[in-house]
Amino acid sequence: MSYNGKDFAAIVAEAVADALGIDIEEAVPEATLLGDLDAESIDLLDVLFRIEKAADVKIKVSDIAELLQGGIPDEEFADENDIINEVGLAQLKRSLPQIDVDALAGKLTADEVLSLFTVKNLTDLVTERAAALAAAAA
Amino acid sequence: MSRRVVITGVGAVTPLGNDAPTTWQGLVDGRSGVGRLTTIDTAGFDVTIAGEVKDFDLAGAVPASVGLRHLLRPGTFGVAAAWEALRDAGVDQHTYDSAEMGVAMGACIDRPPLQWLVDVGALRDATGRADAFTTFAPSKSLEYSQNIASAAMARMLDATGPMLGVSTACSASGHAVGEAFRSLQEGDAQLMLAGGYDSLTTWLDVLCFGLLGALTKDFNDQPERASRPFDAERTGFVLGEGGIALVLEELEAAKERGANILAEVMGYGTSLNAWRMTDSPPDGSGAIESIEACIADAGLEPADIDYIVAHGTSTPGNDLSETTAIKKVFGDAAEKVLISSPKSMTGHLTAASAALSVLTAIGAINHGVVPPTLNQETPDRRLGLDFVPNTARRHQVRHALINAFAFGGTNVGLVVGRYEENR
Repeated sequence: MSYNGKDFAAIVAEAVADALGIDIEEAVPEATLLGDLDAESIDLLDVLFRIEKAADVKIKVSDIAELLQGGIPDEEFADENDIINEVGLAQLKRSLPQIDVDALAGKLTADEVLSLFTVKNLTDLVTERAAALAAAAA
Repeated sequence: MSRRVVITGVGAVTPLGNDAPTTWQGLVDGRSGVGRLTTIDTAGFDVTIAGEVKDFDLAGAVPASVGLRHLLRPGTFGVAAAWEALRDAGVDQHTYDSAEMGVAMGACIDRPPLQWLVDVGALRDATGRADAFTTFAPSKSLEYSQNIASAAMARMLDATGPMLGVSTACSASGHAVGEAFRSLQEGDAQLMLAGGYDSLTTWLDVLCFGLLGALTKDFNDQPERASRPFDAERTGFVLGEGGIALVLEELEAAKERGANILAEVMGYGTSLNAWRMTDSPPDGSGAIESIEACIADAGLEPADIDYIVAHGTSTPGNDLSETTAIKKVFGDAAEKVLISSPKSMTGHLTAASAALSVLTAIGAINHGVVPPTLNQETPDRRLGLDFVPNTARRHQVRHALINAFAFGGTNVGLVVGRYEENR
């Protein structure tokens, strides 16, 4: 969870708590940002802003969407009714290991995907991004 | 005939208390809410006093999850007052269709907290780095939008109907109540949450109003004596702060749901001076037009008014101009009507002040008591009307006139009456 001595789990939890005005104890790894923690898109911007200040890792909201979709084009990710298909769900399972693919099959719409994103998923993304930055600099 | 409009709920956060009943009791008791200014360091300022809201806890006053984290100080007062008003009216998001409920609020345009701007500017100067300004978190951009507190109120009520934000300085909440009244009369909604909120107890405002010569500098050691509308020794107004919200409903809809009707909004009138920016016309013009317009709108004559909740700021110019206007409009009836200024106890709540005056009128109508004008020690012979000096007075109030005027020459009159089935 740490890279170059940074505790990204703590940084992310603090950023989430500060941006949403909640206690840090509520920003548990398994909490979904838009669901459990009632964040709105503007809050997500604040969270990412705070992470950038604290960890020097810049993440855009569009990076999250990209991570979730794993570079798969929209038409291959979801069906004509915007329901995520098997290919999409398999990709989501890679980015969001906690999800229950069977329970979501045939129900999950593209709009709802971001609501599955947890504090832990964000921490993983920050950690991964920091490692990539460090590797590029080396 | 246009639809009738009644007031069914009141909420308030003021220098006299953090709810409407405590505020009303403070007005009746003639208690001063003016004290030493604590929101800023006043060292080096000519003015060191204000009517501040005290011991206010937003989190304790309203439920979470209405966008509260985007509110600045003024908006927190407005949202807390709105929540109280809705509970007082017994209204929630299911009372009417969402599209039949709206919000009309008077406020100043907000701005980033001034100390924060100062800190960022200092950081930029010290480091020479323009990107010091990027310490501005994205959601801060919301904080200085005028409609964010109204948006939080709309979420409380799930109100998706008409929305109006008014920024006409010290007359703003008068316009907001008046325009909400019109929306309901015209059938645009069945319920409007109306009022205002403001907090100009900042160093910039203390400095600027001081530079304009509008604030009194003469009572820093005796804050409770500083706001003295209509008294001969008045030398300027005292800044106050707060939020006041009213639930306005279309009469038939209110009756159908069994609402407790507190008063009726009967008339609304506005005017402009098109004269000087900060001087009140000494001949009362501008004010005369707004007073006449709202009384006519209510279908009344001046002699029908029992009580005037005066704008009464305690500046030499306003109180003279307002008194002159009352004399001209009321003629002989000016000698009989009771006049008092809540600002003598709260200081000037600026954009929220007219809504406080509506609260005062509602209290007078329902309790048969007119709050006093505090600090009447030396009568001003040029004024000479009944300003209800220093002690509240028993008085049956059937119709109250509310005056609100602002720098820029913007005037509002409202008539609020006792609710009577047949009019």
